[in-house]
Formats: sequence, C-alpha cells, structure tokens
Amino acid sequence: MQRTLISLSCVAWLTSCSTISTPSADLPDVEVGDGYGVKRQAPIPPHVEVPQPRRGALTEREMNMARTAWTYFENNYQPTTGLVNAVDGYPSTTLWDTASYLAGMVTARELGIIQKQTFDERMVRFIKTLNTMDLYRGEVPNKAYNTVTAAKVNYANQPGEIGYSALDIGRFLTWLWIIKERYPEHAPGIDAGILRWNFCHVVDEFGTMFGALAGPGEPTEYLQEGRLGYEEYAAKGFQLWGFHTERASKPEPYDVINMYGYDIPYDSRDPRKLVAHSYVVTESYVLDGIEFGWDQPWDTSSEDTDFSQKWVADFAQRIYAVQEARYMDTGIITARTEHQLDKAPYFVYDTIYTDGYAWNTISEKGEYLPQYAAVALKGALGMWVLWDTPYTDIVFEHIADLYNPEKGFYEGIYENGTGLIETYTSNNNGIMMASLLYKVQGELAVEHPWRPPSRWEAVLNDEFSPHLQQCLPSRHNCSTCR
Amino acid sequence: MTEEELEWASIAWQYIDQNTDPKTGLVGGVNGYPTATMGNVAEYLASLHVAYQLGLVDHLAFDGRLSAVLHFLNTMDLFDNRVPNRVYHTQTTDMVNYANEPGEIGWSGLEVGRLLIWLNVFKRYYPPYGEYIDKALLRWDFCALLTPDGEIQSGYRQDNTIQITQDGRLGYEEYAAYGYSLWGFNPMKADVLEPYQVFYIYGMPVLVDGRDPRVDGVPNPLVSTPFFDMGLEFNWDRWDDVSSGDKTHTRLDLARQSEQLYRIQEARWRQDAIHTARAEHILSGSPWFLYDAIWAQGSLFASQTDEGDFYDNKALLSVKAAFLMWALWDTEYTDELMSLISPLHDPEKGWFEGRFEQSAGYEMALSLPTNATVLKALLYKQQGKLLGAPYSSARLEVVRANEFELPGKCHPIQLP
Repeated sequence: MQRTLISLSCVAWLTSCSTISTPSADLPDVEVGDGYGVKRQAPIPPHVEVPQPRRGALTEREMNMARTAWTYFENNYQPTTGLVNAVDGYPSTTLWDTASYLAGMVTARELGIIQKQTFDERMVRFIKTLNTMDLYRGEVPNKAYNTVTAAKVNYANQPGEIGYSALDIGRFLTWLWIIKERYPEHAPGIDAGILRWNFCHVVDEFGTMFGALAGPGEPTEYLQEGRLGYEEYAAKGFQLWGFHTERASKPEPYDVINMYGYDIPYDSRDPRKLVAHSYVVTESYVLDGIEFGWDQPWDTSSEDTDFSQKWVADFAQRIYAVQEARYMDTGIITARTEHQLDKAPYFVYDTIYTDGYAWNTISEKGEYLPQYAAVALKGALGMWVLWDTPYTDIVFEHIADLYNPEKGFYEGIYENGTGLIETYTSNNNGIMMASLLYKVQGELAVEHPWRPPSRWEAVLNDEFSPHLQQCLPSRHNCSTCR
Repeated sequence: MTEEELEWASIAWQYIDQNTDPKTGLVGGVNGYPTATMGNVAEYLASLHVAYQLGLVDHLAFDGRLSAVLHFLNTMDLFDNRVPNRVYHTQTTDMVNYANEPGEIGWSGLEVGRLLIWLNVFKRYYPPYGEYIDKALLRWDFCALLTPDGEIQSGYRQDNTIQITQDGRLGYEEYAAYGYSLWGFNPMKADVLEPYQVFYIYGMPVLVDGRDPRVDGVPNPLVSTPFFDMGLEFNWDRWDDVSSGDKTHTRLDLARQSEQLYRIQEARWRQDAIHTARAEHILSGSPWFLYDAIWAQGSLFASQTDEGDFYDNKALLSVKAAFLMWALWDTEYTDELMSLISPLHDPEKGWFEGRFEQSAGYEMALSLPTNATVLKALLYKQQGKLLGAPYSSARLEVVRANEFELPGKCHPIQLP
C-alpha cells in the first residue's frame, strides 16, 4: 500500500520524483510500526490452583546455601558460653536469636553439615549456660546477654537488667522442645534449665502473655506483649510446655484492611495508646508454617495440607497472596518482614501494613523510613518453601546468591535498588536454614515416635514438687499453677 | 413538622439573628467573632432558605438579607483580583487573615465549591435573583479553582509566592465537586472516590482516603458529615438527576459509603455502648477546632486537628452529626441520640456544638455550621432532597452562549 502511494506521487511531482525513488530502490521501505514504543502485554503467569509447599531432597545448590548460612554460626560461635552473636562480630544475643541459632544447628545436623560430635559439643556447652546464667530478677532470662561472658546486659551490651520478652521466650521454648523431641539425650539438661524459671508474671490465669520492663533500680513494669501473628506464634511455645495461653492464642482483637482485593488482618489495638506497633509482616506466619505447619501445637500429625489451626493457615495465605499481588501490580519483588539495617536506626519493621498505612516501613520509634524497604532474605526463602509458585521462583532467584562465602547470607536487598543490607545475623541465617530443612522434612515441631519421659513432665505430675511454686502448668488444684 | 421541631428551628435561627452584622448583613462563622469564609456564606444562605421556607422570616426580611449577601458577593475584594479570599471581616467586608487582620492569604476551592451549591439552590428556588448570583460567579477566575483535569485547587500566600495545592480529602472533595458540576464545570477527578483504601470497622467495609499524609503533609481523617450533607442536599443522586425517587440513589457509591458510616456509628453504640455522632467541630478552648474522625491515620474513633495532632478526649457527641443522622435515618438509635441532643441549646443564642463523649459535659461554643445544619435537617424532614427543580437560564447562560462576549476565566462555553 505504502509503495503504491509513493509511485503515485511520482507522477504528480515529476521533478522531485527521481530524488525520492533513487534511495528507495536500494533500501527497504519504512514499515508500519517503525519507531513505535513497545506496548507490553499484561503478564500471564502460569496458573497455580492452590499453592503447595515445596518438598523433597535439597538440590546441590540448596545444600550449598545451607552450608553458606552455617558459616555464620561457625564465625560467631563463642566457645566460652556456647552462645552465638546475634549480629556478626557483636557479642550480644537474645533468646529469639538464640532460638534461630538452635534452628540452624538442628538443620546443620539433620543435613549432615556437622557431625553429632560437633552438635553435642556445642549443645552441652550451651545447656551449661542455660543452667548457670543469671535470670532477670530471679524470674526468666533477661532480654539480652553478653555472648562471651553470659552476663545480663542492656541493649548497649553493658552489664545490666532491662526486662524480658515473652515473645522471645515463646520461640525459645519451641526450639528447646524440638531439640528435646529429636534428641532426648539432651532433654535432662534442658528441663533442668527451664525448671529454674519462674513463670508467675509471664503468663497470667487467663492465658495472656506479659513482658517486663525496668530501668536500673526501678520496680518492674509488666506489660501485655504480642500482637496478631507473633502473639499466637509465641504462645505455641508455651503451649508445647503445657501452659494454657487462651487469650494470647485468640486472633482477636483484629480488623481487616482490603489490599489488592485481599482482606488483610491486623491487630486492632490502638498503637497510639499502647505504644506497641501492630505490624503485619511475613515472619511470624512463615515461622508458624515451617515449625508447626499452621497446625495446633498439640496436633501430632505432620500432614502438609491439613491445617488444624485453620485461621492461621487462612491468614498466612492472605499474607502471601497480597505480596504476590503487589508484585503483579507494581513489579516490585516483595517479601516484607522486620529486618536489621547496616546503619542507623539499625532495625526496621518493614511491613505489609502497620499503624494505618499499607506497605509501611517504620523504625521502633515509628519514624517513616520508606527508603529502607527491602526484600528480607529470611522472609523471601520462607515464602519460597511454603508456596511453590512462579512468583516465588523469581523471589528465589532474586536472593539465592546474595551471600558472602566467608560470612553467610546478607540481611536483605533494598526494594529501591540501592543495594544490599550488608549485615549478617543469626536470625536471618537460622531461619533460612530452617526453611531448607522444611523442604526436606516438612513441619519441624514433631513428637518423638515413642514419647520418652521427661523430668519436666515428672515435675508437673508431682503435686508436692516445690517447683510448682514457680507457676508451672497445672495438673492439680493448685493456687500457683497456670 | 411538629411544634417541638419548629421550636428547634427557631432556636437555630437565633444564632443567625444574633450574629448578623447590622451594617453589612453578613453572619460570622463563630458566635461573636466577626469573620466569615465562603463556606460560612453558604451556611448562612442555607439557613436563610430554610427560615423562609418554614416561615421564620417574612418576604421583606428575606429580600433584605439575601440582597445584602448578593451585594457583598458582587462587590467584595478578590484575592489577586481573581477569586474570593479565604476569610472576610463581616463588619468591614475586608479580606482578612485567620487572626482577623487585613490581609490576602489565599483561596480555598473547596469552600467556593460549598458556596456554589447553595448559590445554585437559590437560583432554582428564587429565579428572580438568578441574575445577581450569575454576576457574582462571572467575577471569579475558575482557572484558579479547578485544574483542567478536574481537581479542586487552593492557594496559600507564602511571603511573595503563592503555593497552589490540590484541596480536599475523601468526602469533602466529592461534596465540593457537586458545586462545580451544578454550574457546568467538570471536576472529574474530585468527583470520584479514588484514591481510597478499604478498612473494615465493626465488620463493615468503609472507604478511607488513599493519599498518604506522611508524603503530602495533609491529614486525611474520615469524617461522616460531608457524606451526610450529600444525603440532605442531593439524596446521593447524580448532580443532574432530577427525576429519580427518594429511595433511588443514582450515586450508589456515595449512598453506600454514607450508609456504612451511619451503621458503624450505630454499631459502636450497640456493641460498645458508646453514643456516637461524630463531626468536625469547634471548641471553646485549645485546640479550638477538631475533626472527630471515624478513622484517622490507622486509629478508630480518633480526633485530630488540622495539623494532625490527636485529642481523643475532646471528642463530642455532635449536635450537627446527630441532626443529620436523625433526618436521614429514622431509627431507634437516632431517636435515642435526639433525647441526648435536644437539650443542648440556649433558647436565646442557638444550638451548642455538642456534649463531650468522655464526660457528658456541654461544649457550649456556638457556630454557624452547627445551627445551619440543624435548620437544613429540619427542612429535609419536611421536604426531602433540598436541591430543588432545575432553573431556566439567566445571565450566566446568556454570557456563556454569546460568542462575542465569552466570559473566559475557564468558564465552559455553551454556544447554542
């Protein structure tokens, strides 16, 4: 058509005809579409009916990832206490980070990265610390400890008492329980350590969990601890040891906000009044999936697709789906959770929703820091293993090689393209290892096949045991029992 | 209308009577304080319309009052000689700043939008005055009030520059958009509910403004009053809908949002036993003005200032909101609300702002918005939708249709 028009114009403009037709005789004509901007069609990812978890043996690449993560725990191991630094090179830790270390250590042993001898050496040293460390005012472990001396410290790693965290204790109890069930040879030491604790202020008679706060020389202030997701997850640790956590285990009070068509649940306690942010992040749901398979803690079946705690499974699906939907809508690879930073303020809640805003990134004090939004590696790998979808394939490739072979995996990669969060943590590497172990074994908190006896159970069943004064779970009519 | 309701109306009219400046005929927005915004002029016009319809003023008084307002609108100084200033002194008709000292501080497209609604109502009900209303409109430069893509704009003078921003958040924006639509403008971006987020309160979905106050610095509390005002004045219909019945709402999006806002407040009473009727209101002490929100920055039932500070303990059971809810929803709950609200007046001075949610104590400040709303709600009860039948053309239409005398100033051209 184009050609005909040109030749027609030749007839009309005979004088200029030769100058136009000469080059067009050798070169191809201008074609329809030359110079058009590309209008890309909408993405069509392969359809996934119901996302299933990824299960099966690890590939060589995945094994190498587990080995890389384990280097963190080799570098930061403190032989004097059996503890591991929470952040690379900084000799301080919390119970939460220690639980992540235990997760890493169990994974390393199950995958054959370390031998039983190494595991036992580390475990025995750790259990000694558990049985000798100073507790916060004689109750339960302090929020932070020096990993070289096992002394109670404040957040500046100076000797001192700052209180305790029920969430940290809950997750720690889960991992001690997992170790007891898998390796009953370590159970006596673990039980002895926990029998030193006094739970009177930690869980109340209605099953609400409390944390403690105190400045130097001040009386302790006990505050309800835990918001939707973390609260119920941490409560499962207490449940495994027999405590009743009725109120903590209820999802209420919560509300929902609709994002990308998914109703996303969030804790509806007012952050202005209670000074605790009600953040919606991936981590608590991923941990619940990996460790419990979104089952009730008393559910001993390890079926992958039968979730006995239905609402947790339901909420977890939404948390996953909304992040996938954000990727589909904006092209931003999304795996949101709390994470460390390599600069001030060193820690952010990088959320799906918090304090009134979707995709909010805030510091502990509530400052808005959208520039620190990142794909946190632990959240990303957890999503990859729990949801086998084309989206998590991309997430996996985004993060799977972000490591320093000498130090372990980086904390994360910024969403806005400003590079890596160049910090290495026990929590990140531990959760990544546990995610890989989940691929091999399924949910991690499973009972020993024949339920060996334990000292803890014996104490609970002994109505004359002096330990019952420590508000241990009730098997009797006992005024101090929970 | 019952005897008692007529009494309520005349109490509300007391506020206007007491606060009318004898020289200029203008009414101040807050009792005893001689300033008025364009929103206040709209509220005064609404009150005058109701008073005339209910027979509280005779034709002589009505004409005197209306003519004074029209004279003001046609002669007042304009900001930058383009648009009405944010505030005017009611005794001198000078442009003033918020401290009531002479000064040009900027304009608010949102407040002009509110005034446009009531000028249009007057043109519908009282056609002989249409000419003078049109002349006032022809003075204003709509290029400053509305962007070409249909956003409402405001300006602030800062030193020697004028800062121009988009004006209005969810509810307020759509309400003001009605005003522009009624006069043939096309506020297409202001008129839609986007951008919004969906929250569930007491299990009921409700839309919340989707703009981020941390980015633009503008608080976006969800307040129910503009949605309820749209019910009184437009029956939640399209601006050009004159035929659908009372039960049909041709702006279903607005009708649903309003219904939810009512049901959430009722649910707070049913489930948590807290009487709730929330509005923006003044206070007789610091912080002087509050938005009692249904939702604000992630918190339910929070009260927020213009700057975004929270004062939850200063929330009111608002007279304005209670009357709106009572007029629009004939329910057990609104009857209960009225039993708590009906004593909140001074027969000589008008209706108070409300009673404190926290303590039952009275907030005895008096304002034009509250008293105007009481009057509008009472007339709605008698007549239904307030907007009125469409008018025949007047001066504005003639000018817009004359190709040799086009008004410019971003007026639409309506050549025959």
